[in-house]
Amino acid sequence: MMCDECGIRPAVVHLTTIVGGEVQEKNLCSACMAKIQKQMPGNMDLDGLAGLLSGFFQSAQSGNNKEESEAESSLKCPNCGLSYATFQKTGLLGCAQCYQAFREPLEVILKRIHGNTQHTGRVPRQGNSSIGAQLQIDQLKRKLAQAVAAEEYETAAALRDQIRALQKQTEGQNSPDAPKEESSHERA
Amino acid sequence: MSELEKSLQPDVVISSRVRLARNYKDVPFASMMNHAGAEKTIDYAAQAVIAAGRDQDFQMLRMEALSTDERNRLVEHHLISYDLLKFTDLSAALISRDKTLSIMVNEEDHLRIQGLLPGMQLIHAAEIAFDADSMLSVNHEYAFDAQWGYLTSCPTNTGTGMRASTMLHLPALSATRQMGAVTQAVSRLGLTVRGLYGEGSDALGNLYQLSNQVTLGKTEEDMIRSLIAATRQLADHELAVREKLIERNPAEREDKIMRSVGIMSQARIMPLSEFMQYMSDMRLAVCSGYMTAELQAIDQMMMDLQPASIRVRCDSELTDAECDQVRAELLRDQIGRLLSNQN
Repeated sequence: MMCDECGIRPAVVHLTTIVGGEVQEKNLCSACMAKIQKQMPGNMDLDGLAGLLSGFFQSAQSGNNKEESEAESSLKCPNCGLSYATFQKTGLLGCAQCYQAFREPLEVILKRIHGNTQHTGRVPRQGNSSIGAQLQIDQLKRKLAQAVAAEEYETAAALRDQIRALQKQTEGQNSPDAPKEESSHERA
Repeated sequence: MSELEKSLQPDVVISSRVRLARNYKDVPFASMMNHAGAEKTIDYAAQAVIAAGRDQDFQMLRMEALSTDERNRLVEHHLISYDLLKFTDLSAALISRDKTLSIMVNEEDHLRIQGLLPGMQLIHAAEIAFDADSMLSVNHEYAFDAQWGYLTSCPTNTGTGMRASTMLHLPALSATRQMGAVTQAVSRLGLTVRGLYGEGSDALGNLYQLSNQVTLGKTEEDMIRSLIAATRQLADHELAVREKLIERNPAEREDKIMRSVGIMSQARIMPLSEFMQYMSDMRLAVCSGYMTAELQAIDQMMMDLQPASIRVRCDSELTDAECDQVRAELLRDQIGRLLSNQN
């Protein structure tokens, strides 16, 4: 979710203001939050505002259960020492191990942000896989399916050869199901 | 240019960018970082470039060694972000000599690897970024989780850590007040559109950035593919509306656009927001065939005449008012030359 003020940076705080009985809710990044703070009467600091901030980075369960929410807030990363309460305010984790230390609440947060919690993209040391070649292979496969459906077998054979050549080039980082798909086209 | 991206004209797509967020496993993230940690990540990145034998290709810039204007000039040219300037004593950037690759060190994440190319070249930009990605992790492991992918400071980037974007010139969609609807439509595709300078429908220069919002659960290929598809649709829509605006009243349209070029050729004071609007009109004039010029040269001019870039060029601390005068002067010169080349 992007900041409602600047639209540039990701929102890390949820600000609810009540002015003259009118409730206004905003998701803000830390920079815009700081700007708005300056304009606020009395120039409160972020900690002073804690009561006003209902958490964008609070997990879903914690809203309903006070004990759980307190237990969550008292979590601390054993590696870098970042407390979960600080993370809730800044929206920033302190180190790789924070993801382990705060795993349960983070699962809920990641789901809320991305609608998903399983990475399906690249992994480190995948080799010099070419993203362009992969996209080209995907496109050729779609053309191949069309050619087969239209019974244009010569075109299909040429496309199959192109796909094989590309796959050879990008060897080592194709998904394991790639050869299977190809053989099914051959049968068709 | 790949087949997928063909037919996407520079009339609408100004540039393509792919940014990867990466962190080294054994160093605390930016929010918990001290000087020792910062030196470590800068050293890791610099050593990786040397190990790859590419140190001659890069310029290593420590932010603390640059003046405020020099830093802001890099921001204006999209080579670094404002966030890199939060803690200038800790941050650095490795920028390739051809300016197509910028590696920001100690921004919100240890590394922000950015491939940047003019026009519609998203796939090539991605290849530049992923190539650097492999280079930078040869000797030091990245923070990575089998379930959650690349681990980043902010959970909004977790997963692929990738933000791919196209910079679009959308004067017709802006003028017809359609950007609100566009924003809603692209959000359904997991994409987001925002003004590049300023906000919403009042984006300066009618420049917008279209990018993927979600980073977890989709492959990089899928994200890039949907971004290309959405860019194509937006570009087609923009071009169709441009034509309609001309059809409605050709003479009036041409007059309105060319007046902006006229003002730029004579003005003595040129404030930034006015400048951006006139440049937007001039870009449109070229696309509509009212005058001839290289679009890339116009885009370059738009960056070169931003405030910090002017100050670095003049090597002096100009006030805003002086800056507006220098901008007008430089503009008169450049537009004058452009117009004298018209047949």
